[in-house]
Amino acid sequence: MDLNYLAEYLPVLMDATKVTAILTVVTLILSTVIALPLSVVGLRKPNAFSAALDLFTLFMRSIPTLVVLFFFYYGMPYLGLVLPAFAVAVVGLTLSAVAYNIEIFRSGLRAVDPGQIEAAEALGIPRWRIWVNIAFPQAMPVFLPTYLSNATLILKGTSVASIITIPELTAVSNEIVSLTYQPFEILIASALIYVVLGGALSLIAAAVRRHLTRGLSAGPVRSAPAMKASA
Amino acid sequence: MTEAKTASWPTPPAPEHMVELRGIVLNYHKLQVLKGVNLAVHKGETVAIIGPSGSGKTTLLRCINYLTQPSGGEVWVGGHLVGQRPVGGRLRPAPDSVLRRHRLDTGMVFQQFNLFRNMNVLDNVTFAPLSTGRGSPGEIRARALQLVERVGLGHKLNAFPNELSGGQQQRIAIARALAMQPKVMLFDEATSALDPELAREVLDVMRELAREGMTMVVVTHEMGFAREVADRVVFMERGEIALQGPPSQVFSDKAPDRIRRFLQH
Repeated sequence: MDLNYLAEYLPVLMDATKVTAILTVVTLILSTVIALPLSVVGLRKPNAFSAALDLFTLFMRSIPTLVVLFFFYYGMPYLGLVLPAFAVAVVGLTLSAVAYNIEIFRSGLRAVDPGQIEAAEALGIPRWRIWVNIAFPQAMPVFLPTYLSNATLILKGTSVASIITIPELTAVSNEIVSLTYQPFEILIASALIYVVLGGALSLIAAAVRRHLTRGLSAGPVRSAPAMKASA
Repeated sequence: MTEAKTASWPTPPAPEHMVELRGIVLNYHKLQVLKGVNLAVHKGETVAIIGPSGSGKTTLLRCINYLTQPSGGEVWVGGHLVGQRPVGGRLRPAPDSVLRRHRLDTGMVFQQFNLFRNMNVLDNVTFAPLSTGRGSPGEIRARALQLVERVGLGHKLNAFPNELSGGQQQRIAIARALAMQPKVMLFDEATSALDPELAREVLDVMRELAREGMTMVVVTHEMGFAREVADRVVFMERGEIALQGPPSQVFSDKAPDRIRRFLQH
């Protein structure tokens, strides 16, 4: 392990880490913001729009993100649309993340007791209020673990963007290695950086979860009577 | 055949009819669940709907606030047509925003309580009036405190539904519905999920409400409650009203055989 060698390239790796982090955060935020309202479409009564959405999520989940990125980067110019590489990466990663997030949110919303939704409707509560204040807060603990693991998939998925010249962590690591032929230190370092980023994501999600689900977990702790050691 | 549609069409019910159902039909696939039911409930009246399972009593109740949309007929509550509006000489389903307004006149209590599990007692009671702007936040809160007190749970304001017994949850559900200041209260087997002791505390609240002059439609298996509290008992069978009248008549020995058979169970 040559630490001097690693120290030499650490600043470059850090810049690449920034790109990876930004790409992850932007994709995560965009895909969440887009998927949240879409996930409630047709949930109670399927309609034409929700059928189209189902088709979209099926497509986007089936097609490798790599192919989507290639399509936008190399394919769209044929249609006269030339996008900068970073925009292509964001669009491609977001599209596939949206598809997964819609399904993740839906699985949580389906777990919410329909009787409560009905009671809210009977009270004349506006629909958006029902979703925002009643359904989502209860769906959250159900979908959060899946959402979190999908978030780490998104983090790792940004490495795909290396293929369209985005200087993110994987691309830059590869570049250094092809320059120096000393892969060991660099790859270990980039793996550790991914671990740190993933860990940060988990911590944030755990904090959010604690904050948002207090009411749901509140309840008397029914402890079983202490078992007597039987002879 | 031409029919003159006057300005007052569709014709509103007599003012003393708080609820009026006209020819309510509900088809479910090939099954006719409701076969043209007519029913009028007077202001301040308590009507108990009884009958065997599958007779359509819960479905009929759910038609009153359009949680179930009937296939045909008219529902009138507080002088307003519910869930429909006249468009070009015909009745059309009302859009969601209009239906929501119609529902403000009815409060409903469910068999499974259906409290919002992510909210404490106070929020459960204040959420609907706050989100529909039924008064200032101060008024709504004061009214909620009064209602929770009235159902005997003033000490549970900060409790969550999973910390309450079934009977307590149902009493809060009643307070929640009353907080919207409805003209009519609908009870859908409100005590069926409770053991007798807990059912009694809920029935006490309902009895009190009836005494105070609330208009109530109560689908129930509690024959004692129907006999004691209801002004009128409606016996449903196979999607129709088979008999209705004051409890003394429906529960008498002279009632038709099939009703007495049902009551013996």
